[in-house]
Amino acid sequence: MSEIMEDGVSRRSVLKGSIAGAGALATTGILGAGTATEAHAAGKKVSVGSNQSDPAAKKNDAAWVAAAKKAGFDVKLNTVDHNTFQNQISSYLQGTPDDVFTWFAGYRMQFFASKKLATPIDDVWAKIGSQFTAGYKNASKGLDGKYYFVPTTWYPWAIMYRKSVFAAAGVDPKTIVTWADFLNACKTFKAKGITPIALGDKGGWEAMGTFDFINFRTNGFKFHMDLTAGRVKWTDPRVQKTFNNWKTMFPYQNTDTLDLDWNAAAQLVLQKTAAMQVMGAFHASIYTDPADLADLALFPFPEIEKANGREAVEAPIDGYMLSKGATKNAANAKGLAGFIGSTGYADAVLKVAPTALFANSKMPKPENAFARQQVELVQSCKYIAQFFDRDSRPDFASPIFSNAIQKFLGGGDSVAIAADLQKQWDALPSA
Amino acid sequence: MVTGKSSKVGARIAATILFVFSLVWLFPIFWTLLQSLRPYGDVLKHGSVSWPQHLNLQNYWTALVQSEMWKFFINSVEVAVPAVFITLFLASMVAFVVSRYSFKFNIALLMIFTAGNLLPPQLIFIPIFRLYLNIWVPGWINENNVLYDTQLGLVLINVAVQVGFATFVLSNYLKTIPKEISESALVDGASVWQHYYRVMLPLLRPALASLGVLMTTWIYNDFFWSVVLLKTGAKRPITAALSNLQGEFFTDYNLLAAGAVLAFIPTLVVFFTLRKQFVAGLTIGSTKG
Repeated sequence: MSEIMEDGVSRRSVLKGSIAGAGALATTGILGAGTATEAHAAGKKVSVGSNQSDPAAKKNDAAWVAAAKKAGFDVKLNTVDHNTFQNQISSYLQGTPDDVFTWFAGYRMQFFASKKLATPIDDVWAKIGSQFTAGYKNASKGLDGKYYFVPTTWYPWAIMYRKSVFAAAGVDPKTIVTWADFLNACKTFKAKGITPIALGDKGGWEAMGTFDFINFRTNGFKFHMDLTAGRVKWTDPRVQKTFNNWKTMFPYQNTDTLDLDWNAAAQLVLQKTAAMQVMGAFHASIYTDPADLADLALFPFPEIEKANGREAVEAPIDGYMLSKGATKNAANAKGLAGFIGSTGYADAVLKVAPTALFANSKMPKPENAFARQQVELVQSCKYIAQFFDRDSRPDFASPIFSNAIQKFLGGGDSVAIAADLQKQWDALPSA
Repeated sequence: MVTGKSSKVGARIAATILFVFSLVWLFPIFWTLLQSLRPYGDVLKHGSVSWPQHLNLQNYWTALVQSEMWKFFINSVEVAVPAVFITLFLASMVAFVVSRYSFKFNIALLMIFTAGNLLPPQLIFIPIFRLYLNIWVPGWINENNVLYDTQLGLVLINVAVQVGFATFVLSNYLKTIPKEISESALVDGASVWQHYYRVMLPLLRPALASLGVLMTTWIYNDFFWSVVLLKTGAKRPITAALSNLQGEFFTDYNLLAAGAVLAFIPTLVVFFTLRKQFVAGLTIGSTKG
């Protein structure tokens, strides 16, 4: 894909920019534990498989690889385009994988860890642990309690909107706290001829974000995690509550949801024909004009059940894992994993992606206003979800769940859809 | 008179239908070309279904140079060219034997070759993948010493997949060539090799050319095997370069359109170069009584 650089704003820089410092969940830590300094011997060879194929992401890779070289690592980078990398991951890991590879926190990581396709890195975490808060530590562990993952960057999901559109309609996003507030705001926009909520689900994954939010706002975070991991059945009546709450949003969504991908839906917000989109911070990537970008802001998804408040958020964490093949090159691979976990990595990436948000708690807070909003949003939350396709089984999220969501958006009966989902979950081979 | 008039009307109707269908076929190509010339900013401002305000070649430049599509094009050539030649060479030899010599397993042999083609790749890729992980190759081909993740492996799988169909087509074609030619060659004392190489192969040229065009297109367009059998991004073929143009979240469809146009140019070149033989290969044999 290409970066839209016409106005000097790269989407990735915006995206990555969001949360530095995830001082977010952070407490302080002990000093340094820099692993970078330990790697003195020149040219420790390590191969790294990367899905960072977007032009700006490639720059990030080049920056940290150069920094790693200074720290004594000779990194051989193998970049494969993002989508293929994901689709290929299973054969990649069972073949002759690179020592270190890019991956995601959550069940998606635990799935491969429990299949013994990853190398545990408790010894790496003994060195870098002090630089991460408890939230990141938990997100980096496999089901067996061992560490398998080094978190690097993240971005949150929220409701994206343009300040000018809200101002023109006389809606103050700060006053949108409860579900009733939210629907009232929607009504106001609709009366003014603006589509209140832009939703595209052509890809099948986009609307999962909306589902996740409504589900944990309705039934609580624990229920959501239990559901995505299969510990609660889809036939549970609470699932229907989620679907029913979503249906109250339907009159305010655009009607061609299945024809639009997230990008096309986001353009409706950019072009001011729609007011809001429930999206990841990468929504900003289509704003090529700095003036438009300055007009962009976000607010947290409204509360549905008082008991659950607005205490959970989706904030997928990206990072690195060690493949099972890394055991042949364990010392070097683990050394590099330590470097990736250190501020040496984050500093190098920050230089080329000033709005990136880092998991490392030692990184400073971002200067960009939109990025700061993202950090504050996540700081205000008690629970962090990774997004449906990272929290659930890979073979369930897509194509099973993505199809179900599309059916639901197409007007399908939610009871039948839920029953069908459970049937398909039961038919999956045991993980 | 009446028949003349009605046939004229018939011709008109046929022409109209043909015209409509050609529009249906040409429109997507035209649309791709148009979109490939539009900068993304223009689409963003006016929407994708609007008359373009700016047209330029920027997308082509970005695709070819910034995204380094040319490197992937070379990868594709390195796989497609050997694969097509080896396939045609092997298939023509099998076809020669099964159509010129009669022996007990003649038909069975041909059927085995053709039947192999009936298995879809989706069915056999897991065993192939496992197999490739267990086939040793020297270190200068692959530092991991396995056939997996090598372009050699990709050439071999393409040969294996295509050779069945090629054998089937070539043997049918050879059957249309009069036996007398073979007989006179034998009478003149040609060895089996001379019979194949000096007599039959030249006669096969039109069929080889048309098959060559088809195979080049198929192998060039292959995405499946390159995903299954390669893990190194830099070794992947042109089809993979097109997915490189799609972003993690955001895809610039104008750039992708430019990439698609660049990707289909080589197949057009191959087709137009071999067009004469291609058409001859399609029709030869059909007039035989």
